[in-house]
Amino acid sequence: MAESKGESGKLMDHNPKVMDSLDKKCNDLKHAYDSCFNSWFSEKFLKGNYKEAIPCESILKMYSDCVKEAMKARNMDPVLYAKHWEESPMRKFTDNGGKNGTT
Amino acid sequence: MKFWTSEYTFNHPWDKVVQAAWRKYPNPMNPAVASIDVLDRTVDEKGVLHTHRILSSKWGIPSWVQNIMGSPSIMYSNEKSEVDPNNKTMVLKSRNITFCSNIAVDEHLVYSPHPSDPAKTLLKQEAVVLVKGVPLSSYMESLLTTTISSNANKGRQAMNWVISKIDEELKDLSNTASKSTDEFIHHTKKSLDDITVSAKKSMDDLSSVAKKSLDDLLPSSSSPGPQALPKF
Repeated sequence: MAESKGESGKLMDHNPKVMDSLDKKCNDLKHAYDSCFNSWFSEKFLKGNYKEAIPCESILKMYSDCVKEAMKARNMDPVLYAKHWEESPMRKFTDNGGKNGTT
Repeated sequence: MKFWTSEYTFNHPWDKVVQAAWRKYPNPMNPAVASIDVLDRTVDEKGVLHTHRILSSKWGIPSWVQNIMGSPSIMYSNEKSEVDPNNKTMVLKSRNITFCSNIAVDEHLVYSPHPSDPAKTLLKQEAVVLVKGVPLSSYMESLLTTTISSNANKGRQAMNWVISKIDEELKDLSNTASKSTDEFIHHTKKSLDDITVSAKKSMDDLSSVAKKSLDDLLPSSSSPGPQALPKF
């Protein structure tokens, strides 16, 4: 592993710089989207400029489509996952609102 | 069912902490996190950012859990969050997808400015653990709760680590900007020096060539004086 020159010393040695997508083929889109989002979030959103068109929308669409395709290929239903909170079989056992009965 | 709650104060303002929250991974304290993907993200009419993400972890499942539940190579969980920049709150809710028929680990995190010090950020964190329909369910709940507590400590260290990295980046950025200017000036000066030396050399060459040519024109080897020049 490359020798770290950072102040954090050892902690930085093994650490990759960016997080991966669940499927490698979406990595480039993910990294590009994350950069765009992080800039927009600090420079626009937190400063109150959320009404302007978000520059990251189109790349988000490409990136999330890539992820949803990859999930389907692994028999993970993205639509089901989005409804996970409401439809979890465990929900009927929890106290958090929601009546008994899952769909 | 087991409940766990905890509070923690970050010595940084809310804006900085929420930026770090989006950049929390990868970090050396949580090496098990293998992937994070955004499935949906929108800003509503009140300016609140809603995000749905799916996270996966490669390990971190205690072997005794694997013995009972099976050994998946990847564990998935869902995370939904809301960031309200007007009220300065960031709320994250997550639940495991893997094993969700028998185990539910629900976590709820809220980041907000500290009520006594706006330069600091308060994190309120809670978890509910429920295990049903498998042996030793109560025991599993207790141990999963302990795991959550230890992961929470790592998570806070991770956030502090990310915040200090962001600070370093900002410092590096301003250093690079001034370094670039210095380098540019140095490089330009060097080029000018080179040009000057080169020009001077050319001129020297030119005058010695000129002199040589002049010598060749004269019949004698004595240095030419104006009176020795042939008359055209």
